[in-house]
Amino acid sequence: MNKIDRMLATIDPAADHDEPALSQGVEELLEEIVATPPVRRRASWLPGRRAAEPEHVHPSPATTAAAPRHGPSPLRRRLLAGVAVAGIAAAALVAVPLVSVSQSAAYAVVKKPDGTVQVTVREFRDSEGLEAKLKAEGILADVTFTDADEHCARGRFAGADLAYDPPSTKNMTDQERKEFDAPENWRSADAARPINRNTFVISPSYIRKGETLVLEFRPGNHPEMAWWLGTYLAKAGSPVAPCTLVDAESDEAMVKEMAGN
Amino acid sequence: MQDPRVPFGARDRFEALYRACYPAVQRYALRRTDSVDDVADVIAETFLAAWRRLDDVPEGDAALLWLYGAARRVLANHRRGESRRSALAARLRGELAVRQETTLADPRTEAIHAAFAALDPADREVLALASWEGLTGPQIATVLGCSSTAVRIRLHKARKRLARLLGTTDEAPVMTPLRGEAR
Repeated sequence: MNKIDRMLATIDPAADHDEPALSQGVEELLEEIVATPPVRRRASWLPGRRAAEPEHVHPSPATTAAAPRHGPSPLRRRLLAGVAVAGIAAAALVAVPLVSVSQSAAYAVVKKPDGTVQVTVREFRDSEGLEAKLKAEGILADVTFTDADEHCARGRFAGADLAYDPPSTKNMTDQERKEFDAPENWRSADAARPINRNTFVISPSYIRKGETLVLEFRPGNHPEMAWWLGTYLAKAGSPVAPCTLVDAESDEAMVKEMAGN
Repeated sequence: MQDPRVPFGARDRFEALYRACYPAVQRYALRRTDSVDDVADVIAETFLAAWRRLDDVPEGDAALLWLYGAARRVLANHRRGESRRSALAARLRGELAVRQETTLADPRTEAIHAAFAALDPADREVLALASWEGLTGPQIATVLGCSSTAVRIRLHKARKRLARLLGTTDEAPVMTPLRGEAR
């Protein structure tokens, strides 16, 4: 370090701060971040920056960390992309080996002081029991657990926001896109979001009167894919039809793509 | 139907990166922002970028340089006013606010503060990366995405300019502020 650098070191704004401890806020941020859908997933109807992004090289951080963008903030854009993907994909998925815990219930429902309801899923069974427990907490929910190789066909209900049946954004104007991105249109992703490997949080404040929270679970059908959770809101007055099972796609292709192959 | 998924091992890798680099990223943010809200935003957005682009984050020591580069972009966007308050890191924001203390102006360092503030942002950034983050020229080049040669030249010029503002020279102390002007 030369003399100028040493002089500058005396005015280092971080010098007075202790080594930042890994506090609870730091831990919470970690959980919040890993609960957002990761990496490069972009549904085909989401206009992507992918074409401009080199795929298999390691470009310098200056060019990759936050690529040039227009519109909303980088964070919002990313979060919305995640939200939108989760919406269409019916999957807020988390990698967890399904360990069967025989003595305890298939799930745990805990009401938090802030009014949110935390649901820990241990086994994919007893959807009616989960619905009843949620109802006891004042949440009208429709829960479906399917096998790994099938899922519910679309069209069971009218969505209260865009998540269940999102329009194509392909030819949207900037203004339309802005409206499309409005948080209000992705409320269902806020209404229920995973916070870690086997837990998700329901925030009743995002659910309006008469709306039904629709949860569609299925185990992954690839060893590296644990489970999927689709979270939607059915419009008030729109009854949720029973699940019509259709074949689910293999998770293999997606797992491979996510792994960068 | 396409789904976002956490690739196998991604969470563990990210968690290790987060724990190892969090202190450095927080310091980076503290040094370049005025409000704790901004600090929280920069940390949150930087690590979110790393999570979403984990494949792009290099292994080893280079990971921190990548994060600095990402944080720099986040800050640039903030300064352009494009960013809104991050929804993440609510608790962190509170914790940072509690820890925030006002530091009293020290007459001995006031001149250095003033001179540093008078430099243009590009000069400030190379000097900060060298002095505060303690990076070498090639490391700074990685963060900034330019060549080592360019960094060496920028650093040299920035040090000269700061020295001139402080009435000193890069290497040896001088007795009078005018001396620098006379050279």
